[in-house]
Amino acid sequence: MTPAVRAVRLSKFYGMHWSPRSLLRQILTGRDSAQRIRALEEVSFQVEAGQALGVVGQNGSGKTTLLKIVSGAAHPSSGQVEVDGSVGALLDLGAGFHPEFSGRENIRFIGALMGLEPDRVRKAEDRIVAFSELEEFIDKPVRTYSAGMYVRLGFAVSTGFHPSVLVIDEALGVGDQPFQKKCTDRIVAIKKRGAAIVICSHNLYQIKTLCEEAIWLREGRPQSQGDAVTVVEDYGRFLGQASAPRDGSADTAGSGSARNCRIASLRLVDGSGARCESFRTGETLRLEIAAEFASGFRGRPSLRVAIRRDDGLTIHETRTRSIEELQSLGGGRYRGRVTLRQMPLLAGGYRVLVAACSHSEEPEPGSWSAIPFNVRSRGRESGAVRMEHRWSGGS
Amino acid sequence: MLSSLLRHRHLIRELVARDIRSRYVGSVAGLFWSILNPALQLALYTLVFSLVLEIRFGPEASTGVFALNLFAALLPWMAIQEGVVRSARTFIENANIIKKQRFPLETLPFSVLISAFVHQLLGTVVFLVVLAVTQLTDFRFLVLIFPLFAIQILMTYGLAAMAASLNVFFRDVAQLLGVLFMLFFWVTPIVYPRSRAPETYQFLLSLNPLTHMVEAYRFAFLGAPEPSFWGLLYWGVLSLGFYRLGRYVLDRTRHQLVDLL
Repeated sequence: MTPAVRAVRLSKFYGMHWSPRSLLRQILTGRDSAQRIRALEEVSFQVEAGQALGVVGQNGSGKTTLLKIVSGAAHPSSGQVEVDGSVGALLDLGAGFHPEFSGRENIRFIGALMGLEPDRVRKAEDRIVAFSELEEFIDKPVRTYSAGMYVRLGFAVSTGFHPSVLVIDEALGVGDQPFQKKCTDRIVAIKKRGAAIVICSHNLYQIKTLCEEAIWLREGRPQSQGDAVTVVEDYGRFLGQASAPRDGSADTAGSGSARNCRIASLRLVDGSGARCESFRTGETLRLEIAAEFASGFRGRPSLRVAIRRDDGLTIHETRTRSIEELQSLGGGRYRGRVTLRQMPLLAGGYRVLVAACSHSEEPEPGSWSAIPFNVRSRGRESGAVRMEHRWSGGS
Repeated sequence: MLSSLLRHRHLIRELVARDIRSRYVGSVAGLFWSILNPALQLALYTLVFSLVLEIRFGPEASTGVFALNLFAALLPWMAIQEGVVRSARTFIENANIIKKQRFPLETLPFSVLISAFVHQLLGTVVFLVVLAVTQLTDFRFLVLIFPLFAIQILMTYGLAAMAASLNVFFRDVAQLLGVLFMLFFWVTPIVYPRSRAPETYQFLLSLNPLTHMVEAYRFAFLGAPEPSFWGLLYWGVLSLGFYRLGRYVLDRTRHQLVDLL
């Protein structure tokens, strides 16, 4: 069986100090300009129909470039990509909409662009409109749409024509919670129907659950590639380490297991116990941790939890004082729970990091597991956390 | 490339419809403007060149005959000019769509020139009505306009594809085109018969492929004078050359130009 997507040694360079003239000369004569930026280097992978590939990496690591090449929006400088069938691409919030035309006209346009017969486009149209929940606005120009409406239409269109390959770039962190859920469900459904999916997301949990395989890109090169859970956990540890305040040692990924303890699972949930990655200031945030301490582990089992802002500032760090604070499941497995009842964080991007270690020692830098989450807040306050305060005049 | 255009015919239809609609969206008079402009040109040139400067097509020909000769030449001229000049900006204007998915670039200049051609067809219908009313021609050679359309589209497409690709690298191309089209408007016998040009310029006029195109259209619509076979062949071969060149430039630049948008 031929894979739905086959990428062989994809590289992409951008000329750095180009002038239009020198670039044209280079194209016509084939001579290379000297200074080039490497956006992607030697990336190869295959995605079978019905499978999903996750792409993770920090900003500027080449994720978007890779997705653009897979979708056909950009061309690799070297290497090749073969795609079997039609591609639905959501590389940006709107799938290349024309602002002056209505939502419906834009749906028809994208359908035509995907090479579909007009009657097939008409058939898909109602389904797309229904999914986007934009029935009232679908005949209005898309420039009148709010950002949320734009995203909804973009997602509905790029997935609505039953593409055989779906390429999605960071689209799932947008829209409100119910719609995000709907999008995730639809991706799963499309995958079940036999489409190949290439998705990039900062939501590591999503990659882990949706994808069979993953690539972690670092400065354009695959740092790690293979089974999605392993790759994502490697990457998560790297993220935890990258901003760990006591970071000083070399990369010792996997050293947590060298000490015979590890975080087996990590869940961030809201007050109702539902998994959640986006909170409001003042809501309940709960962290559910499962840790394993193998028989070779020495010392008293302990868990450390840190909350860090995107820029690496540690907002809060805590540890278990005694084993009583953990629920033993037997066999060296423990469950721990941290509840922030009125979570005081203000709007921003945060990460919660968890590590298992012995009570008397510090966790190894590479052993932190991380989950990113967002906080939204209303009101006039800014900063890291809300503080109880009162304004009053004079005496 | 023709097969690519055929494969993307639905997309091209959408693009053409979008282009024509976008021109009239938000304007009160709509179609009126696209009739007013050529009608005014026709009237003004007739006034100046026929009435003031007394240029005639044929020894006994009237002002009406001048207007018809002008009309026959102005229709393809305006379609070519519009198709090429507007194509120059089409990649830049559509950067938003091009960069978001796999996009067959060749459909953009093609749809621009087809949209201009649709206006030419509308003008042709008006022209045929005028001809039928004035009864100055018997439409014997009218069928010739179909091969003429085909060659004209071939040439325009080559020029449009070239202009569209190069303008991404050099924004000067759009400016240059304005100058070139003004030059060619006057060195093509549009507002005067070729016979009025002095002997020394006859050779230069015959080098201009558009001279032969204009004369062929006049022959097809008005019956006379007969264009030279070699001139037509020259125009046809050059058009094919332009088409191949435009295609070559677009194919060589298509990967890089997307990065520059």
